[in-house]
Amino acid sequence: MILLCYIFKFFDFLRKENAPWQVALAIVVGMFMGFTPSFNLQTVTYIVILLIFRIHIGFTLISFVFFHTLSVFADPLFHQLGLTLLTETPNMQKLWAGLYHAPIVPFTEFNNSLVLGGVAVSSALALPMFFLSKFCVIAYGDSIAHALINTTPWRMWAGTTIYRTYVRYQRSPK
Amino acid sequence: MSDTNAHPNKGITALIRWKGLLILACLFSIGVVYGKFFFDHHLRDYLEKVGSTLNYARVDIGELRTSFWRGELEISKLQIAHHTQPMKNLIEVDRIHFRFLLGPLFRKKIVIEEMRATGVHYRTDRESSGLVDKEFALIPKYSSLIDRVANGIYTELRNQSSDNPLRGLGLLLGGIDIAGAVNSFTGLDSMKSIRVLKDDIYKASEQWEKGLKESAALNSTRDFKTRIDSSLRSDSRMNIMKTKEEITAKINQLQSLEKAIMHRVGTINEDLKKIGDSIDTDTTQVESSLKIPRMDTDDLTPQIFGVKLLNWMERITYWVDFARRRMPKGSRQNQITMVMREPAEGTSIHFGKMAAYPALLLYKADFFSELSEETKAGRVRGTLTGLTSDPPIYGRPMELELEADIPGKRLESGKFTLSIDHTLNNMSELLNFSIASLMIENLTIIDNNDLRFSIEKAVGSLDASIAFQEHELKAGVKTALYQVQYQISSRFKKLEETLRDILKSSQSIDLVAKVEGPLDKPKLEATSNLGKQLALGLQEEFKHQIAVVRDQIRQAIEERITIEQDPLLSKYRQLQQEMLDPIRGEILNFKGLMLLANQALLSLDPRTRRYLTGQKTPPQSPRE
Repeated sequence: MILLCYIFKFFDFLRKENAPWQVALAIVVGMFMGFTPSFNLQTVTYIVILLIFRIHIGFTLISFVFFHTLSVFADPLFHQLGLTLLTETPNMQKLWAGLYHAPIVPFTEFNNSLVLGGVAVSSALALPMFFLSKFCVIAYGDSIAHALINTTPWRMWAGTTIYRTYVRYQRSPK
Repeated sequence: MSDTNAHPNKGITALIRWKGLLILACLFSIGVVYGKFFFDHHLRDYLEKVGSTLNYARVDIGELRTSFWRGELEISKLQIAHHTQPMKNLIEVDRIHFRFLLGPLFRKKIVIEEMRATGVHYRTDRESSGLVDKEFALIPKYSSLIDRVANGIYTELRNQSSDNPLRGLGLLLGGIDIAGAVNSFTGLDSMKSIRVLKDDIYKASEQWEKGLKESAALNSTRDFKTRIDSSLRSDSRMNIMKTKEEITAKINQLQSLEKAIMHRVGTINEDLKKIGDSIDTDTTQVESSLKIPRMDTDDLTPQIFGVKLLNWMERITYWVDFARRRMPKGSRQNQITMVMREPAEGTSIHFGKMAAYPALLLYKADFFSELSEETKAGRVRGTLTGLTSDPPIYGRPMELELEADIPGKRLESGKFTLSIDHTLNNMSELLNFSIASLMIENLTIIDNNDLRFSIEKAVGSLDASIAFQEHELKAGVKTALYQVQYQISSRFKKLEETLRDILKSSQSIDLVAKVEGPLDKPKLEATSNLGKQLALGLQEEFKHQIAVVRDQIRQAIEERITIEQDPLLSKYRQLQQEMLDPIRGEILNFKGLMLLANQALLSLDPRTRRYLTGQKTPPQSPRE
């Protein structure tokens, strides 16, 4: 039972912070994480942001999986974009050289074409994605939630002992 | 969705998840514990795996200790196994100490100020096998020493050098079933030519019979004669002229058939000639398949030492190729030097900057080892400078100088220099090594069921210079061996005695070899007094036997050809007689008919008649 309590606390931890802006920010952070191909300082930064700031962790993970899957198909584009930015933009060469020899910055692997391409695309899409996500959450959040609740898999899940125990846990005074 | 978790605090503190900080603190503690207790072990395992993959034999590290605050790394008991002698180490080093700078680490740069290797041992014994087995997972992204054969640079030279006549002498002495070998050999050119001949004769006979049927000449001469006679009787010049045209057409038809037959005869004669010409080639083919030694060279040095030389060249080329991949050349754009690398994902660009470090730099390494009571420890002194992953950014070539004396291995005054310059557009590597005195033991020349021939012991000196300049190679080796003792054993007494006789006066060997040319097609030249003596001695001794075998092979091939060829030839001659003679006969007959027709025309000409009946106008021959 104690173990179950800890598991339920973990679920709570994942699904707290469900204000529209928090969910939208979670999707944006998940997008940044998904478009980063390897584990580097950027990934660590995103994880730190996720843990420190009040962002919906569950949606971050869902967004990460979605955009990481998308990046498999978008990698050639990221590579080309990154390579162009690194080697064919004379005005930025000195900036790249400076960043490459600066402290800490090289650990972000910005000098890798895939990483830079992914970051560039994520940065360009960040604001539009934030506002679009926020709009979707506000406009369609409740209707999507209702639709999900009425699906067969959810009803099957809602009938399980674990779910009913979780609901009792939620209703109990903490 | 609604904000069901409205936080009572306002401002920035409302945005911060305090529990998250706790989690981060836990993660940080785990990181510190890992760094303190586990990092060294994992780094050691990783270095062992990488080294073993590259060497394709075990690389073992006894102990590894790091201290980031002091900027030190120490490796103890490094053993690099020999990749063909698994129970021996190529090199064993007691201790390697690195001192690196802490500041560049924060810039993701590894700058090793100083490296010191002490206690260098050569060819020590191992307690366990140095073979890399399946359970030892190699790192796939690093190509291994074993892959060196995959690039095939020296394949052609290796094939040329592997044709060692010493291999086939046993066979020669043991006796060969030549007739059996020739009869079972399937690739003879002469047999192919006989098959072509058979086809040609078959086609010819079909063609000729068809031609004869079409012309149907046998009965038509009588018809024409009858027609001429009847035209003459009926005074019909038109009929005779028409008949003449038909006779002409028949003659042309028969002449074409005769021409076709003669053309085919020409082709068949050529096929016959080819059979004769291919006997020499077939003899050589059968000799090669039977591994009859070829004694037509006056220097056997490439065959004796060529393969060993190429083994060394392959190993060196592998490491040069490795250096070129790991220390690539760069490019310069807008006064910024860039070096491109291809990691597992994407392309990484390393940028150069004034007074900045490359990604990996070893300023200076010292090798220091003193003699000890243990015989395999050597006196080694050496310096390595400028080893870096980005030579164009560092701007200076890598230089290595080593001197070694290992009395236990009778290695004296060994000098080794290596220079790798990838700072410019043309990559170049230069390797020089010389050894004043070296004990050589058990150097195998031939080892098969018929003959075991090796240099059991010798003392030698060695001088080598190998230069790679982009895609060109220039390598030269000079070696002198003294007090040479040979080990010869064969199940053929004659062979053993012959070799002992030849080598009686070969107590020293002087070998000079060169491998030069473009990397995809280098040429090997090698010469030595041993190679020349062996070639001469073996030729004198076995020349006659080889000539006899060669003749026997030739004879066996000729017999086989005769068996296949004779029936075909008699069929061919028969066909010629049956076809050609009648056709020529018919042509003559038709020409005779043509004369007859002309005479008939002449007799029907009015002027001729007048002449014959006594009138004065002389006859004019008809124009047709």
